[in-house]
Amino acid sequence: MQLPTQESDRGWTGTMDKNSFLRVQKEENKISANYERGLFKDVLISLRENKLAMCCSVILLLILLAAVLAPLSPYDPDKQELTNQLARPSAEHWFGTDELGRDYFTRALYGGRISLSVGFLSMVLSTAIGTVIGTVSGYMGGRTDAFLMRFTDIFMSVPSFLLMVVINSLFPPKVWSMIVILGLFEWCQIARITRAETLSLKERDFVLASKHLGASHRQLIFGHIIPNMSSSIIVAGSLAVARAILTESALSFMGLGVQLPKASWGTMLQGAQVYIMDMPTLAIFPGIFIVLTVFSFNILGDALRNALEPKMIK
Amino acid sequence: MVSIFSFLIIEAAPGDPVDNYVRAGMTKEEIEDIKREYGLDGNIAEKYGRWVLHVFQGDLGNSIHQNRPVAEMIGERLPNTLMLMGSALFLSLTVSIPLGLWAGLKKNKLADNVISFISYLGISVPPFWMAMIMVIIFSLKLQLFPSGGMRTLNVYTAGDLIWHMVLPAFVLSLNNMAVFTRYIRSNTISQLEEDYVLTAIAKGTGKRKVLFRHVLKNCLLPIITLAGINIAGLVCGSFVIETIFSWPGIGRLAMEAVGNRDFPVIMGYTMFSCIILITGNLLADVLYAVADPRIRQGMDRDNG
Repeated sequence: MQLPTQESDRGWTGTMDKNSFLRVQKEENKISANYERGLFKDVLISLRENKLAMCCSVILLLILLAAVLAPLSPYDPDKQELTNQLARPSAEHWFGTDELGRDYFTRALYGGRISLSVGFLSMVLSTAIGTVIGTVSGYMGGRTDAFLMRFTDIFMSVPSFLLMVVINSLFPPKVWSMIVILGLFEWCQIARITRAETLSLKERDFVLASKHLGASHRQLIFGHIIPNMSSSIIVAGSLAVARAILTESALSFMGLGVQLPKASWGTMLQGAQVYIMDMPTLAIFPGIFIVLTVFSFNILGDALRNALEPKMIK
Repeated sequence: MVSIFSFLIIEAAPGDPVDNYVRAGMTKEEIEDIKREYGLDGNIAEKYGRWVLHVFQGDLGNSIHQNRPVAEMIGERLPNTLMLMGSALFLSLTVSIPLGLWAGLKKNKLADNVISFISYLGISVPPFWMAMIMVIIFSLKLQLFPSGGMRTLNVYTAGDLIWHMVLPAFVLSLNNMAVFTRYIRSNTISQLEEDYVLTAIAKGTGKRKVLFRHVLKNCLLPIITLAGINIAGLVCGSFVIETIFSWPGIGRLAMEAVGNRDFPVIMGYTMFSCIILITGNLLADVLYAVADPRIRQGMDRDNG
């Protein structure tokens, strides 16, 4: 848009001047409206345009709701009904029953509780570790930065899955130890992202301004830097949940994760392996849950990235 | 130029730390191991030092379970694993390059959407579940491929081997395939916007020639690095896939060792995996330097 210059102003009539002012004012309104809408609504609008992401959030919401409301199911996930083993899916048992006559649908819901909570909590842990290390590293710079980043590099290049296998084969894993182990091995990417963001944020004017106004390091980091990279953290977090659920299910499938009688989706698949010949549905249903959840988190993560980083769209 | 060189060093550097770290992890595990088995943790450092010393002499110790040298057990299974990993890598590259290029060309059209959707799925599907589904469909229902093993008893032909390799290699390659496809797609899109493409077209170069001669070359360079990084995924994947398809590689050996608490074997396996990893990364760096004249020049200038 070209604003009328001084010379053309003089040449034009007054009404034209008003028009051009109107135009400027309109644009200003648009921008301020954008701020008023807030981040959340902005994201919502941009998500609504992406049908696939919309579908995924609905699916995710359904799975989450089902897992939370699992106790509403008329069946007890651990109650064995030995007269009704390996039943085919029916109106009574939606997914059939497993080798001990337990309702498979209910078990899948309770498995979802474990899988999702392991995924979420380990994401929270890894995000916390990653954010602290990344921010401190980027903020301090110099030798601290070099040391922390080498440390991260080392962690990144280690085949974490193998180490998890070794650790879990030595200590019989529990749900909380799974969360800790997954969290401890997944923070590297988040550390890298937050470090890069911190590096650019700490040179921005508003941070420099508050620094020169006498803000403490803590205020700068927690009050200015971390809130301003929350969008990248959220994106990385949603991808981390997907990864954690995948890793957890693989470990549980190998018998090195969540142990019976508690069952995650991976544990259920491990049990289903034996009956793959006569009851393939046992293997299919929990897998579909995993795929849907992980797929949705991946798509949502990418959609959020597109929504939060306008430059990525083009 | 110096920065590229230092980048190369950092890229190649994980080699040492990996070893260091894994050994450090090992000591800790060994502590637990000794504590549990003997109820004391006296001379861990000494024992660990001995293990390291033996490793450098090429002696990985004896398997507790089978009472055979670990190096021998790993040695006889290593080629099988490498073969599986190699074919999976080859498969994922040959599928993902054309798919990624095509999707990048038809950005936001139907073909792109379908390919992107499938590659998202490929990332989200747990490989072990895919393996189960493949076995159900192709081995149990259609009876097309064997559900496991490496060769039919007493048959030693290449065809038989490939026939057994189809399912495991496909499942193993799936994840990489999806990652590569997405990467090549976004690369193609960004490369097509570059000025040199415009120049080439303006000069009257054919579209096909621009695509295959110029764009493809620039897209493939980062893939070399990516493939090097993803070897870690292949190693971990082969661990799972070999177990499911009862492929006689080192991954399955390790899984059995985990079941038997056969620590020398587990340690030997972890070490060998790291060696594969480091070699892969190193190979990727060398290949990259060979393929990219910019880096090659930088190295020459730094060296001389």
